[in-house]
Amino acid sequence: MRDVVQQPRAEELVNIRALNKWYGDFHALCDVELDVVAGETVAICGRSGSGKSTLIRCIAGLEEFQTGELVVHGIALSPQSSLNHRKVSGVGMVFQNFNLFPHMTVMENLTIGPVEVARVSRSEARARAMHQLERLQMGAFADRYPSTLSGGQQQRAAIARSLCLNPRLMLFDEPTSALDPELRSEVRTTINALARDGMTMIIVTHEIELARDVSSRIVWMDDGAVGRTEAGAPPTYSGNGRGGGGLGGA
Amino acid sequence: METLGKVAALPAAVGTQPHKRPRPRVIRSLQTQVRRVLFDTPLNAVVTVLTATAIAIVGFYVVRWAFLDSAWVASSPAGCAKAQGACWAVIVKNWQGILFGNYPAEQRWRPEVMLGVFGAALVFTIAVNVRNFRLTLGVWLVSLVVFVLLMRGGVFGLQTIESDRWGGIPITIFVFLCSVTLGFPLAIVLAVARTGRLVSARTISVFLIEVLRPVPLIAVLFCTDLLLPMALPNALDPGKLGRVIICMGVFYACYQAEVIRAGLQAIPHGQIEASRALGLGPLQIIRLVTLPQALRLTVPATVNLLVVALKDTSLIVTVGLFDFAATATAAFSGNEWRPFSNEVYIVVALVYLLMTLTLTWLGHSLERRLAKNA
Repeated sequence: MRDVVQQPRAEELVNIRALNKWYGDFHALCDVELDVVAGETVAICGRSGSGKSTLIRCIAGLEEFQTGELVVHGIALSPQSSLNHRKVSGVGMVFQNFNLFPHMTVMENLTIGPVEVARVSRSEARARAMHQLERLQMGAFADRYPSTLSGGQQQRAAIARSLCLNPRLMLFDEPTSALDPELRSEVRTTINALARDGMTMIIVTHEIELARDVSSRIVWMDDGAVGRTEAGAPPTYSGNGRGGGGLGGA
Repeated sequence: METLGKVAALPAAVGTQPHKRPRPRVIRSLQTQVRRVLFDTPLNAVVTVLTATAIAIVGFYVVRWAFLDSAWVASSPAGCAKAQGACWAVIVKNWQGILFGNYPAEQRWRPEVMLGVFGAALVFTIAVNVRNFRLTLGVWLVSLVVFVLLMRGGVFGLQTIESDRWGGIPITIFVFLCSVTLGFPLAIVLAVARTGRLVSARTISVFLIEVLRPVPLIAVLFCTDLLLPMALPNALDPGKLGRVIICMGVFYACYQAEVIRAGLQAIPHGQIEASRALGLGPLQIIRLVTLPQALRLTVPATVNLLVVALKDTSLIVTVGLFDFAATATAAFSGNEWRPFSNEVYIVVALVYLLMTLTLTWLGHSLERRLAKNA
């Protein structure tokens, strides 16, 4: 696949140095350091309130941070700026609650980015969207509205929506937390497939099977700081969408 | 764990397919249905009997007055005097004045054609059910242009008739449509400015809305009519009808803006974040994501305001324009039909009812259609 060519290991997509963020007086991120190189799948784990979602939202440019250095895809984001999301490009973000646009069909959800941002033609955008949908086994749902889909299908549509902009880096903020356990495996399989294709990903999760299953590295966060790091499993294929958690129980 | 496992395994252990079948149809006789709906409890039965009695009594007098004892044809009010009930002759004799006001009698075919044009636009709107919004909007804009050309004349060999001779139902519909056409886009701008991050735009929006809303429309109309000609050079003065339309449009926009703002604020923040993550700019987010959702959410409140705006057109008589209510009043005031004002007002009320019901019906069908998506 052209858009997920395996990059040389050396290329760094995210560099974070001494990142600090406060919500009011609450020190949410405390001297965070993290580097992510192309092709890596990094899982960020930790308790609720440990700052892992805040960190990934900073990387996406959706949160303001106060001090530190944050370089995403070669572009340095500015501290004290709420407009960082305008600088970030080539980064896809997947949310816990999918955040599909409810007034648009799945196809419209997928083409809006390419048409309005990347300025590709509508037919090209549709072709690209169909390609991504079929890749995620969602081709049959192109003309459905999000409210008629199951949670797992909605999340896969949201992943496809991000992929349509050919991102170099995918960010996942608790992608399975809003799903019933039986639906999590579809999303997990999708993420796993992306990892095998060489997509660089940062996944915030407290689902430890997901982290162990797909990530090449697990970063633990506690109380706003990065704690220990452990090596995860190499990307493996965990089955045909039913089993999931290949190495999860280990 | 052991028991949990057994419970989970139960349905499979039964081993038979569930026997799915159509829901049994219950056919109830009319009698049973009436009993179920109107007489199922003693309280319901009492309320039903009392309501039915009241309706019967009122209905009897209404029917007797309006139909049994009424006079439909009379060349003069004296002919009506013999009748015990309503004198519909006042309508039959004066209907052209009621509908079209002072428009020159030999040119009345022009407002008549205009009503036909508006009717056709309405039929078109209903037929496409606003499915093609741009086309529907275009049809109505064309109808407004046709209105000005046809009513004013001066083109295609038509005699020029200045707007101070226009009157009646076409004026009511025209002022309503123009003020909404002007006011709705303005309302969107005001609502977006008020919810946006640009402080200066927000200040202007808040100022305009909070200053205009508390003032009665009738006072705003007077002020616009008197002050605008003084404030503007003559060349820019849009004329009385133009001033009234601007005034009603801006006034409507202030209310509509608050409705749209409520809709915008009801959109979950995640929608904006997802748009930002896709790289959409602030105006794209409003145009493509938040505004379409906000407008869908606020259809009921918008219909509410449209009904108010339609009825508010009857205030333009205060600055000297003859809307439908005014021309209807003129049909009996200052002449010998004066005793029969009730009949005229009843017809006026029915016509307004018909117009507002059309609006609410359109609103409901739009809501139903939108509910199928999203």
